[in-house]
Amino acid sequence: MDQQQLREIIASAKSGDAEGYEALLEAYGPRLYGYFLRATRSHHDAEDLLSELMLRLVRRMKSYDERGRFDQWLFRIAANMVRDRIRRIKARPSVASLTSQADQERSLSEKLAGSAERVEAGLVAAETSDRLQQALDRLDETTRQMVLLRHLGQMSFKDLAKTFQCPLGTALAKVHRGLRTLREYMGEHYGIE
Amino acid sequence: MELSDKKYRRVARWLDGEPVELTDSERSIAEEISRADLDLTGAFEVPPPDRARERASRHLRAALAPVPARFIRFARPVAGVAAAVLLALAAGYLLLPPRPVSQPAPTFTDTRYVTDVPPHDDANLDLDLISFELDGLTADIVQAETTGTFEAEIDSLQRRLDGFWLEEVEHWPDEI
Repeated sequence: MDQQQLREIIASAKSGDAEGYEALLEAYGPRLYGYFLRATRSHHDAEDLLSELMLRLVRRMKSYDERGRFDQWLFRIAANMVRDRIRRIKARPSVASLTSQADQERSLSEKLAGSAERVEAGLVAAETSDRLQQALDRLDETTRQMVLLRHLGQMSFKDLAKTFQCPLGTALAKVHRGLRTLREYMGEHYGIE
Repeated sequence: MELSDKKYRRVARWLDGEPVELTDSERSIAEEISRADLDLTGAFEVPPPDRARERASRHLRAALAPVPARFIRFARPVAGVAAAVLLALAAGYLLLPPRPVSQPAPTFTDTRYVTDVPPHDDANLDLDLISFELDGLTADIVQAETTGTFEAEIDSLQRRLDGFWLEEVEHWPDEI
């Protein structure tokens, strides 16, 4: 979709036209769903978040300043939603976390995986077959989010630094290390350089 | 190879499109990241399943619907439930065996009224009637003073008053 088409769709959505929003869902659906799925590792959560995002989009569309980049604006909203969802997952009491100290010290990604397994074991089992997801699982939560937002949300490093409230150099360093880890894992397990 | 925070910051600015002169080491990192950006284009995307798309679309249309439409959408299931309940009640009424016919309630009679109404209510009614009659008589007296012979009118009124009392007594029921 070129910029002119995007501007027309945004104008249509801003005027309250359902077709405009449907077009945005069509255009950004795969990227948004990919982001939600890879960030939460649950189809159930990804589906919830996608629906919720469309509602937020309707409420906030009028406040979108067309001088900025729509992708980054949209994915900033998505990133906030994922952050809230992850907080809720962390806060959710789990039987396992009450039984062992070791479990409480697990990484967030492991906890997310545990929750997802309990909720949708079948879907997550299918998802773990995705080699890219396996590689992403090796990253810490912040780095994974940054890599995803960089590639799916077309976020600049300046935006990443702002979103994650860290120095600009730190944002790039994390993405750099994350990409290197992904490449090493893919090369090590699948012979992909 | 990793860089200092200051060098990473310069590379980040260059990757964001700012005009920055990079050193060889910085350029090497910048190219590595740019290559990864290209390699991973589209790799993280996942088309939403039909169910997720439909759900998002449904929520979207619900949020965009004008208020009356939302009300109708809310009222429709309520009306459906109400109709189902009415239908069930009607079916129950029609399908259940009829009850045995009971004796109809006695019709209203004066006797029943008199026996049902407490005595003090009856007395109040009488007092009201008397008061009404006296008001009428007073009005007649005032009129008689202006139009006819006073004595004759007094006699006439006295007869009417006597008749009133006798008439009232005649109409009293026997069963009090």
